[in-house]
Amino acid sequence: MTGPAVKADAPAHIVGLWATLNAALAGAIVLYVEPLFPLPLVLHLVGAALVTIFGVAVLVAGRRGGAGPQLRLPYRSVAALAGATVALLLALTWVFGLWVLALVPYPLLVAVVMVRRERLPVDATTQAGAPGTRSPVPVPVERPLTTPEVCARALEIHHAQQRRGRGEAT
Amino acid sequence: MSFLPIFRDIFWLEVAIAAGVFLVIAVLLAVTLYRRRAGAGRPASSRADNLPLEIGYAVGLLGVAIFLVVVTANANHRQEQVQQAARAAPDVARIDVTGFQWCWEFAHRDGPASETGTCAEDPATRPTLVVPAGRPVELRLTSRDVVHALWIPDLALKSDVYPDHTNVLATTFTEPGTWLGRCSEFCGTHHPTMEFWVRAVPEQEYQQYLASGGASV
Amino acid sequence: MTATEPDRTQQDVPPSSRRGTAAAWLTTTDHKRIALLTLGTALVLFVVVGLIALVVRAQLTLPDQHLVSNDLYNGLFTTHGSGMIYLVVTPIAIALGLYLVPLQVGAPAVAAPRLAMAGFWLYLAGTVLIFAGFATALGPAAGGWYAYPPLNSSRYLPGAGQSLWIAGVFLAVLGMIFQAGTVLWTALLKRARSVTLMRMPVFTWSTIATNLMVIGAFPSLLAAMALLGWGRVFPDIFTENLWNIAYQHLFWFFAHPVVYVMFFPFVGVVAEVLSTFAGRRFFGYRATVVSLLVFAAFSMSVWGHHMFSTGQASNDYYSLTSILLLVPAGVEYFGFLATLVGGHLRFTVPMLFAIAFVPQFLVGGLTGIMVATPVIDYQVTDSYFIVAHWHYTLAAGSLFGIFAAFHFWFPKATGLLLDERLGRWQFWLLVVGTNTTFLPMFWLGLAGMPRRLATYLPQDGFTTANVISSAGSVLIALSVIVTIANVVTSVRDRRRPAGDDPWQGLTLEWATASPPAPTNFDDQHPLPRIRSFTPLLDEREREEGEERTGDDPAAHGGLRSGGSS
Ligand code: HEM
Ligand SMILES: [Cu+2]
Ligand SMILES: [Cu+2]
Repeated sequence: MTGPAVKADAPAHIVGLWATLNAALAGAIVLYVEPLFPLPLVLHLVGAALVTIFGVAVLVAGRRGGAGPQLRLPYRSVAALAGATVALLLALTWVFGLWVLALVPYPLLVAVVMVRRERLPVDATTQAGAPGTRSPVPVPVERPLTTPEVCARALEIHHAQQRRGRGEAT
Repeated sequence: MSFLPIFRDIFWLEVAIAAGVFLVIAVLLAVTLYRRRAGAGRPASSRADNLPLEIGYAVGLLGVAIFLVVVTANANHRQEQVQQAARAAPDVARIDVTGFQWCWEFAHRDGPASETGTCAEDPATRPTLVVPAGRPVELRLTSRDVVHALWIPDLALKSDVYPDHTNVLATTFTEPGTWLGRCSEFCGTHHPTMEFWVRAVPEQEYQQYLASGGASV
Repeated sequence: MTATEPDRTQQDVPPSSRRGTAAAWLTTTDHKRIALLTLGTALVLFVVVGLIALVVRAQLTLPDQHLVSNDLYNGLFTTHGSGMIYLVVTPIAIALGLYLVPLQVGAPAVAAPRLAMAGFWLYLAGTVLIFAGFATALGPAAGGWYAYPPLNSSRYLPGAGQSLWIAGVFLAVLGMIFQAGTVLWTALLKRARSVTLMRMPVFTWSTIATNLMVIGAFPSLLAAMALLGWGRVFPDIFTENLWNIAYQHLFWFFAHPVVYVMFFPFVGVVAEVLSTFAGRRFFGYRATVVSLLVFAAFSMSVWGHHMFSTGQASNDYYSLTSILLLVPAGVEYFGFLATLVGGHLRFTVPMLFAIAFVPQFLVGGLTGIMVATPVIDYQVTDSYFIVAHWHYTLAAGSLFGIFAAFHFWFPKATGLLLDERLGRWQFWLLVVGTNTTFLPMFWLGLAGMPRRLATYLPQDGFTTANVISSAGSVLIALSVIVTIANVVTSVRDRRRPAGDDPWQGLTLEWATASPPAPTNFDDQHPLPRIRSFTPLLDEREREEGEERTGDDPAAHGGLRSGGSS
C-alpha cells in the first residue's frame, strides 16, 4: 500500500492480498497438532475462497467497465420485501410444519412480477428527458451539469411517464 | 498442583504489563487533552505521517508480541508436561468423572467406590470427589448428555466435559483440604446448582474410602 | 411511491410527491433510507434488549433471588446476548457503512440497493422470529448466544422458541451478508472518479476490512445454523463428538470475526471524530489502512481461542495468531493518540464519546490478550471475567463508538442538532454507569463466579460486587433515558437546524445537504475537488489563502501554519 500510487480502478489487489494472507495463515495450521485435523484447515480455506471469489468478481466487473459511480437505480424495492417474506415463510415452515408452505406462492409471485417491473430498461438514460429522473445523474463535479430549468422539465416528463405507466390519463 | 502457580505467574505478569500500558496511555491521553484543548490556543499540527516512527513502533510491538507468545506458549507446554508426567506416574489414582444433567458421578478405578448425587438446591445433595493428597490424580472426564465443564476455581482447574469424548485433567493435590467445584459450561435449567465438593484426604483415609465402597469419610 | 424521485433538493419535488409516506420509505432504493431503517430498528432493539439486561441484573443483585425462574433467566440472557450481537451491534456496524460509504466516496447510490433492502427485510424477519419465541409454550430460546449442541438439539431444548431462534439468526445474518456485500462493492468499484483508494476516509477503509470479514466468515454461521437445524430434526447426530466439535468450529469461525465486525467500523468512527475535532488529518493514515487490512486478515485465524478449554483444538496456533493481533491494534491506537497530540481539540459530545472509547476499549483489549493466553484462559473462561472482558469491548467500546457516531452524524441524517447539555449528561452517566457495571465483574470472575448463573448463594461471596454492578446498570438506564429525551425534544421542537456542515467536517458527506438529497450530490451541492482523504479540510485551507504550490498538497498533509479557529 504505497500512497496515492495505488491504481484507482484495480482494487481487486486488496482482496487478492487479503485472500493470500489468509491462505498462508490457513496453511500454518498444518504445523500444529490439530486434533480434528483437516476440519479447521478446510474451514479456513473455504473462508479464503469466498473472499477470493468476491475479489475475482470485483476484478471482472472492473475490467468490464463496471468501475465508477452507480448511475442506474431501480424504481423501488417491493421485490426485496416479497423475497424476504418468502424466506420468513420458509423458516416458519421448518418450525411449524408444511402447511405454512401454502402461503409461499403469493409473495413469490409478487417478487417475480416486481423484479420485472422494478428493473430499469437498458436505454433508460437515453429516453427523452430521462437523465436526472429515472437514474441518478453522474455526480456533478464542481460545476452543475444541468440547469434547474432542464431538471424541472425532466421532472415533468418523468411524472408524465409515471402516470402513463399507471394507466392514468395524461 | 501445577495449575494454580502457572496461572498465577502468567496472570500477574500480564496484569503488570497491562497496567503499565494502560497507565502510559491514560496519562498521555490526559496530558494531551489538557494541553491541546482549544482554549489553550495551540494550532492543529499539519503533520500527517511519520513513517519511520510508525514502523519502528510496529516492530517494537512485534517484539512484545513475540515475547508474550514465547512466554505463554512455554507456560502452556510446562503445564502439559506436568500433566503428562502425572499421568505416567506408577502411583497415579484414576477417577472417572461423569457429568450429566444435572450432577456428577465420580467412579474410582482403584476400588469399588463410586459416588453421585442430585445437586438440588440443598447443598447437602452435592456429591464429593474424594482424592488422595500427595500423589498424582488423573480425572477422566466425560458426559452422558450435553457439554459440561468441571471447574475448581480455587485450584485453577478446569476442563470441558464432552459426551462421546474423554478429556483428562491430571494433577497432584499437595495438601489435604476441601474445595467447591462447579459446572462452568452452561448446560440447561439447573446449571447453577451443578456443584460438588472436592476433598483431598491423606492416603490412608483414601484407602479406607475405596475399601468401604465410598461410604466413609 | 417514487423512491427515486429526481435528484433535486426537496423543494423541487411537487406536492403530489409521496416521498415522505410510509410506502415510499418501505419500498425505497435510497441507501440512506435503507440504512436509517436498519439503524433505527437496531436502536429500538438496543433499548429492548437492554431492558432485558436490567432484568438479568435485577435477579443477580442479591443472592438466592428468584424474580424469574431458571428457565426464563436462561431465555433472558440468551435473548440479551444474541440480541445485542446479531440484532443490535452487528447491524449497526454494517448499516453505518451503508449510510456513509456512498457519501464518503462521492457516489450517488449504493450498488444493488434492492439487495441491501432485502437485507433489511431479512434482518427484520429474523428479529420477529427470535422474539416470537416469547409467545411459544416453552418460552424463548434458552441455549446461550452460541447455542452449542447437544444442548440445543431438540432432545434437550425441545421448545419451538429454540427452532425459531435458529431460523431467526439465520435470516438476520443472511440479511447482514447482503448489506455488507453491497457496501463493499460500492467502496471498491463505485467511487467517484476522483476518489482513489488512498483518498477514501478512514471510516470507509474500516468498512472495507469489516465487510471482507463478513464475506469470508458469515457464511460459516449459516452452515452452523443449518447443522443445528438438522439436529433439531435428527438430534441423534449430536451424540457424536465429531459433530459437536464441528459445530463449534463452524460457529467460532464466524463468531470471532463478528467481534471485529462489531469493532472495526467504530475504529473508523472514532478516527473520523477525533481528527475532525482535532482539526487535522488522521495521523498515520497509511499505517492505519494497512493495519486494518492486516488485522482483518489475521482475525480469520484466531477463532480457536474460544475452544482452549475443549481439549480438542491446537491451542498454540490460535494463541499465537491472537496475540499477534496486538501489533495492528497497537498501530491503530498510535493513530488515535498521535492525532490528539497534535490537535486543536474541541470537546463536543461526539468527541467525548470518541475519547472515552480509547481508554475503555483498551481495557477490553488488554484483557483480551490475557484470555488469548491458554494458561490464563483455562481458569477464567466461562466465568464473569469473560463477561467483563467482552462488555469492555462491546459496551464500553463499540457502544461508545455507536454514540459517537450517533451524535456526530445525527445532524447529517436529520438536519437537526441534538442538545449539547443533555448529550453531556448522557455521556457522563454512561461513563460512570458502564465502568461501575462491568469492572466488578472482573473480580467476580476471579472469585469463581461462572457465567450464565441464574442465581448464587450468600456464602458464595459474590454479593458485594453484584450489588455494585447492578447499581451501575441503573446509571446506564438513566443515560439511555436522557438520550431518548434528547432525541425526542430535538426532533419535536426542530429548534436547532444543523446546516450542511455543523462540525467543520473533513470528509465528503459534509459537502452535501443535511439530510442529503436522494442521490447525495446535486447542483447545489456538487462534489468539491478531491485531492486527499480529507477534501473539505483541503478546501478550507485553500480558502484560508494558504500558499499552495499546485502539486498534490494534501496527500501527505499540506503545510499549515497557525490560523486556528
Ligand atoms: C452494547 C451493549 C451490550 C452488549 C453487546 C452485550 C452483550 C452480551 C452478551 C453477548 C452476553 C452473553 C449472553 C450469553 O452468555 O449467552 C451478555 C451477557 C450479559 N450481559 Fe450484556 N451486553 C451489553 C450491555 C449490557 C448491559 C448494559 C448490561 C447491564 C445492565 C449487561 C449485562 C449482562 C449480564 C449480567 C450478562 C450475563 C448473563 C449471564 O451470563 O447469565 N449487558 N451481554
Ligand atoms: Cu453446567
Ligand atoms: Cu474470539
